[in-house]
Amino acid sequence: MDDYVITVLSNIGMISFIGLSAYLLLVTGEISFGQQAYFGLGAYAAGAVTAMFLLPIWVGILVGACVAGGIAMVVGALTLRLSGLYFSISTLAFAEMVRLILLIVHVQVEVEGEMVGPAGAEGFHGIRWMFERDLSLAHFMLLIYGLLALVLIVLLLVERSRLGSVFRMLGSDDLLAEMQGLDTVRYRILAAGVAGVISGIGGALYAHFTTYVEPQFFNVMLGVHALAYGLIGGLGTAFGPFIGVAIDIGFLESVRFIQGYRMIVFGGLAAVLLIFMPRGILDEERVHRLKTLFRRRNHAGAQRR
Amino acid sequence: MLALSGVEKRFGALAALDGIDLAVEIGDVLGIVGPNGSGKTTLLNIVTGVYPPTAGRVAFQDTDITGWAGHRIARLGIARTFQNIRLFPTMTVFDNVWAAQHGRVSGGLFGLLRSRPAAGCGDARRVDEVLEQVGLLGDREVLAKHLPLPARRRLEIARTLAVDARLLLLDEPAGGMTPAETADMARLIHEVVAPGRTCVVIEHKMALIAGVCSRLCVLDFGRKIAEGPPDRVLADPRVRQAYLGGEGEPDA
Repeated sequence: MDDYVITVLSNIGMISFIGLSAYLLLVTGEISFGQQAYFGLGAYAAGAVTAMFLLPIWVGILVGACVAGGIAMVVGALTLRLSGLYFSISTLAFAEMVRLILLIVHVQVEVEGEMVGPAGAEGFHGIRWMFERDLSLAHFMLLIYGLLALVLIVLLLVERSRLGSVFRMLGSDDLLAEMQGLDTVRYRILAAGVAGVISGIGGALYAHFTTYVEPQFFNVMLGVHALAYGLIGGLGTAFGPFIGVAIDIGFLESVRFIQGYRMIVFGGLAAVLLIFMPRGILDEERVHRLKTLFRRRNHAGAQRR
Repeated sequence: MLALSGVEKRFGALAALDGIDLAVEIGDVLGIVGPNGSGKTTLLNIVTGVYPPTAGRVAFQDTDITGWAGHRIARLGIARTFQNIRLFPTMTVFDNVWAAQHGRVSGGLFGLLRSRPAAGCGDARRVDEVLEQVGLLGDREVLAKHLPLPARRRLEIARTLAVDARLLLLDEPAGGMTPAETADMARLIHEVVAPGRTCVVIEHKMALIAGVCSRLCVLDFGRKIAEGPPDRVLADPRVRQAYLGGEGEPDA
């Protein structure tokens, strides 16, 4: 594989994290325009851990995930009592706040004769963990996909559990969930925290892949794309967002002749899809039909044996 | 078991409930009847904590639950159905009933991380048992949104049975049903739901009320105008006047 292909695949992998993060909230019925904030917080926190404190990358990823998840839970506790559009607006406001704060944060330390750390609008340079260890892009891609697989497996297991069912109940009928003894606010905060962790891991990886991060990258367009991935791919299964990411980055951004028109094509595609498939390609009903089909085939196979 | 005293609910200038006193004893099957807008559903919403009363007290098993959040009240063992049917439409019949148990799983968050049980194992057995009782076992893997109306109402009832609630509140369980379907529902409530349980049933249809209720309470414009055994209450001239509009056949 050449570096171009590896870069595209790595981007798909890293952006998938924020797609999964927005997807989890969509499942619980929340439209968040602010998941890019946790991506950014994860990136800055992880970068600080490895570049400023010279700790290993796994500590960086862990810290990035915890910082993003912790802040997401606090923000969730403050905003999740708002409903619908008001919640969405508050997520957007928070994300912009984070971005603007990162634009003025200037904290640097001297590492081996060089100043390293967030430098406001100039961004955070010198997150060179990967290159100092002579790791190739391909190696790092494996790390990205390893963690992505781990997150996906956890999400798929959660979806099969009572907790996953609770998340879907929140998204489907809040009042009914409450009437069945579920503290809906608590579970919403939990979902916000998990979504923050997922986004934070993606950000931590991103910082180390590109070696520098700047607040401008974590703007609202990233969050809107993250939302669109779940909405296009489908809200019936955690595989859904990957379809959205594959369409957007794998196809639109990588096929040269579309490149200049990417946003037009993507926006149009999203609009058309949402008219005909309001809950995405793999929505709950199609997922159920696929499962039934699969189960029947398994059943038939078992009988033949 | 359930005691309301002086319960009042105002929506702006409108008094939906106006000083209701009501007691439900263990083993009661209490029917609440009354014309549209007389406050029946408002009463259930207050008992289940959808919204707090403007004034008055609600007590359940000697605990004052006035103003409690809905999930806390539900966990005490009060389960309900809805007049306009609330199900999780994109979940299967099995999952809808299974979901009703989530709020009562022990072990907190870790209890919730257990996977959906395979058919015939653990919690699935209880779910299948109640599905069998209401006659929905054959539709186990059907999405709730694909069920016809009578089956949806039965699914709502299965849900309340699956959690072994102490008090069942049924809001128009035969709403929108044909006379034959209503008779089926009356049989289900009489033979499966009511025995050994305490229930409050809101209903318009006399065919259902007469068959299942041991006691009736009549509301009119947010006030209780009569209470007692069904035959006596229905013979009360005030009830006939308010509820049936003077002369006329019940269940017309």
